[in-house]
Amino acid sequence: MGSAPRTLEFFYDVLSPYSWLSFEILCRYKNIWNVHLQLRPSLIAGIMKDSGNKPPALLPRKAKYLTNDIRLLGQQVQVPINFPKDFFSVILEKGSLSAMRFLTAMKSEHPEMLEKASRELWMRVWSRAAEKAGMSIEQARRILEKTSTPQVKNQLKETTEAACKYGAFGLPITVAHVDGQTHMLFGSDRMELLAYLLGEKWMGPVPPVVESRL
Amino acid sequence: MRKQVQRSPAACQKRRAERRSLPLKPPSFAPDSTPGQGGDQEVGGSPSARAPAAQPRPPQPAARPRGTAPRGCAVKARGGAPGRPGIWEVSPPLFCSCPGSSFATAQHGVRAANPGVLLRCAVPVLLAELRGNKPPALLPRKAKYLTNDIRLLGQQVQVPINFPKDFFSVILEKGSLSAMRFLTAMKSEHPEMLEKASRELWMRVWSRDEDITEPQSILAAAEKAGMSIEQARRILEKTSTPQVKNQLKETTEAACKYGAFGLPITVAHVDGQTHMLFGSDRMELLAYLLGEKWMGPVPPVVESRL
Repeated sequence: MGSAPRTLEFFYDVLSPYSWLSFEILCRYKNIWNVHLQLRPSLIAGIMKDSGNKPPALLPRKAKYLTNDIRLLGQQVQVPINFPKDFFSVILEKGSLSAMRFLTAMKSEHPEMLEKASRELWMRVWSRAAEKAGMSIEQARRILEKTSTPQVKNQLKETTEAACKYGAFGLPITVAHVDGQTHMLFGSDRMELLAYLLGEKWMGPVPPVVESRL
Repeated sequence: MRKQVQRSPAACQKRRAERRSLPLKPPSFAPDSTPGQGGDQEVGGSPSARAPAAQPRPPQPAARPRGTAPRGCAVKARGGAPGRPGIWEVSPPLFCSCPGSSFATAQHGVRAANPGVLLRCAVPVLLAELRGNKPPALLPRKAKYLTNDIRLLGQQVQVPINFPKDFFSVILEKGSLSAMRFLTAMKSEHPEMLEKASRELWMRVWSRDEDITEPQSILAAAEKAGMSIEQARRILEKTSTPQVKNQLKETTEAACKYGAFGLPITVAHVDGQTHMLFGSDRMELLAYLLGEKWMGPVPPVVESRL
């Protein structure tokens, strides 16, 4: 086509299951659409604080809805997502600060590994493979102690503030720069709208892969 | 998860005949140009054509005369057989003041006239009180996001939606009690007109920024939907009866029993399971659960050649 790829800034937190769904869909489409996907690890707790919002799971009826919603979407989007049994007590209390600082450090040290590292953390927190939801956070904490610097802390803060400047009140958000316009889209359920704005084809959350014959 | 169904030529013919009875065009919005729209609903959307591959569809439930909605109890009791799509309890008209609902309507529009789709009216104000939830627009950043979100989705879904100038007054102060009682009465008196009447009320409040609380406003919407002034007046009279008030309350409670914390919700009964889906953005997931094909929010209409 010859036109420059459009930048998609993807702000996410591994604490957010919807972020994982969005992430996988975008990773599938990044080689199909004419886009440049920028992964931007952020802290959802910071966004909640800045916007005055509250995690939806704090409303009982939403919490009940969420667990079903995630389960069904996981099937549809083909992501092995499961609510950890101790999600509310462990994850909401411990949070994801260590994990997201870890990914922030990863992004500056080994950006080519950021996608895989993010996925691994989601797999550990959100997949049945994790015996205890908090386990992966502990491991990340240990790794982080070796890499934690003021720069990393600041970078995570700045990325989170950037998300807030775009108007985020939660995660994930996808910021699409198209035709001189900027669109901030919230949630994993705006991917078809994203395709529409990009003038690209939406082929569902699991697009067919192009087989390469060498 | 999709079940591939082999259909006999006779069954294919029957399906074609059924399809011919579908409306040829999606519901058209007001022919007069709406303010700020320029009368042109054609949006330069995705240039890439969507060419859905032909896929066999699961067998449809037995045909029911058009225009008759199944009674609530009968629908709930109906479980689906494997491979057989269940009955939808569609709640798009629930919150007249809620823009999200109108998308669900537009998307269900073609099928809503067909058997198997049950439109139910409820009132979100009552919902909010019972659920402990708050309208998202009360959070400033969400309010800002919503206005953009609705605008973009309106373009993508091809619904001429516009935020009323005094949005908070419309949603939070004026509300929709009369309008939803009217639709509730409409549903028992003239169910075949429920879809059009709902659409006309949305067009008033969410497209032309017109009132829907005064009796004259509601009558105007009913007339635009094709009712005679006498019919409309008769229905309006019923809106203050205990039966109608109770029916609306019951429907709202039914939504709550399904776990609603807002509107719209779509409750799908499929293969003996019940799925409550919240929002206009779960339509593709609904298609997945039904084993149906998702062709985007504006599916191509079947052209009938007679």
